[in-house]
Amino acid sequence: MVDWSDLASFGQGVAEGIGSAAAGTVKGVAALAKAGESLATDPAARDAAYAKAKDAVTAATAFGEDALADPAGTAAAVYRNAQNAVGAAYTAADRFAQTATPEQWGQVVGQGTFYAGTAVVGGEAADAAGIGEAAGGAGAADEAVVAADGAAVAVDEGAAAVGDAAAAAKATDAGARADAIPCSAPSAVASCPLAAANPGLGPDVAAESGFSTVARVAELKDAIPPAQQGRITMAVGLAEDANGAQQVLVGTSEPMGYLRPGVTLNPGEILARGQGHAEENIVNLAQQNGLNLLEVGATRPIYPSCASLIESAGATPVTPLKVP
Amino acid sequence: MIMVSRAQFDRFERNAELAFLARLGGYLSARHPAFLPRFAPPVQAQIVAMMVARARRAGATWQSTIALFCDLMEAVAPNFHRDPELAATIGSPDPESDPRIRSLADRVDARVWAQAERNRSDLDLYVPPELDHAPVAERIAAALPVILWDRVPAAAAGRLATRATELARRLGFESLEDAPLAVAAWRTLYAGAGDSDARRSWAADIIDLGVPARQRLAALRLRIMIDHRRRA
Repeated sequence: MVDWSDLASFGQGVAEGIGSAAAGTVKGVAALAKAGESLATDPAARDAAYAKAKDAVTAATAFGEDALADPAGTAAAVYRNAQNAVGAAYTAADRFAQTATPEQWGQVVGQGTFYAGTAVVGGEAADAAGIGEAAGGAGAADEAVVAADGAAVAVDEGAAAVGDAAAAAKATDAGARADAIPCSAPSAVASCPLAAANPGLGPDVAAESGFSTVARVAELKDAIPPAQQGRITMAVGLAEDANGAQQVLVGTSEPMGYLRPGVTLNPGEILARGQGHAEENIVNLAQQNGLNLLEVGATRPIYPSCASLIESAGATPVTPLKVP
Repeated sequence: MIMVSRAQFDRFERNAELAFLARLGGYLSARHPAFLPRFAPPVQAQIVAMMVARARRAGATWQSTIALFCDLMEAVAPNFHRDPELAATIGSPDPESDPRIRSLADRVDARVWAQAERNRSDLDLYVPPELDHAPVAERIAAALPVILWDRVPAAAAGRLATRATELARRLGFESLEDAPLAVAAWRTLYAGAGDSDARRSWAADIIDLGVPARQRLAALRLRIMIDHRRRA
């Protein structure tokens, strides 16, 4: 059950919580991430969030003292607060999907499936993917509202934010020191040694379990807009966790996991973000999360360096290799 | 004695600047998770660079002062420094600008901050300060490839800006200079979604001219965030 009070308390605490997701501070972050996931995957949740914000506007403009002087400003502030809460939830979901360990995922997911959405492609793409079931049905609609409590405090948010910003800046130091600004951006991409080329192709070992890496690669290749097919590489990795449960990782050569319109993830697939080759991002994600990578395929011939990287991770390239 | 050439020095400075921008981007992303992280990474860097340019133009030179200035641009309003009372308090750039900016919160009362927030315009986030005196249409056209980085090439921005500005006017948003950004995002992001606006119940809220324009514009931005996970 998502605790929507986390959205109500949107602000520094939540922001710090999101930033610390990679460090294992799951409480709060997980709830916020789950909220983002609900919004990303369930159209009803999105409508409910909007409706709740609208209700909050009605309440705030009817009873708030500030509303008497500036009802439109009060309403706009409530909507803006809701927008920030929703945006924070999406960001939490993105970061959680990128950094959480399997155990942390378990805490968020419960009996459902966590949809590792893309940070920059519209949420309505999720509709086409038919992954609404991940959000938990009717329960998610109840959960996916923008908290009225948060709307109530939004009226005062402007003034409070000033002091908050000033305090944060002062905490960073008064001078021009190079390290004055704390950096919270996760830097989790591991550099992996690249070795010699591997000329071989391995079997599609997971075909017997019902999932085919090669087939999924073909699906993704078809989904990439034709104009980009020769320039973008997407890769699929099959891995298993410590319990032997299979995980499908999807990587792209586009920065930070950007997915082109029309390219969607299937339920349960994990997006491997990063700045490297699609295959490299998959290897990194598997290593960061302790997953045992079994095989990797790609929509374009795999570079020898990537093939070597895949093999060094104990996995097998299952699609054609690029001739050096 | 080690001699550092001008070229080497310039490179050091450039690297230091890039590192600072990256750290600042991380800082702002943590402080405001609904802002920068909702853009593609290259666009985030572009926005941070423009925010920093504005902070420097106001006289900020310390990293911490620049960070505060940028923070206030999101926490209060991207154009907070244009508020007459705040502008007077910030003053013209001089060697004392940093302490003046750092003490803004102590020296300016809540009424002024609220006033700045009421007059919030997001345009300053997406347009370089060099265009501050350009016509609004030109500034809108410059901002559109930033907020719709994956949908609107620069070559098409002018035409879209004209259309969006006209639609914003028809919707009663003419007093809100950044409204065409949200309107353009609305028309672009929902185009071809297989469902007409008329069938979307929320669209009725946006076009209801009986509701104040600022309220409707804020509602539109919320809906775009809900449906498309992005700022407009």
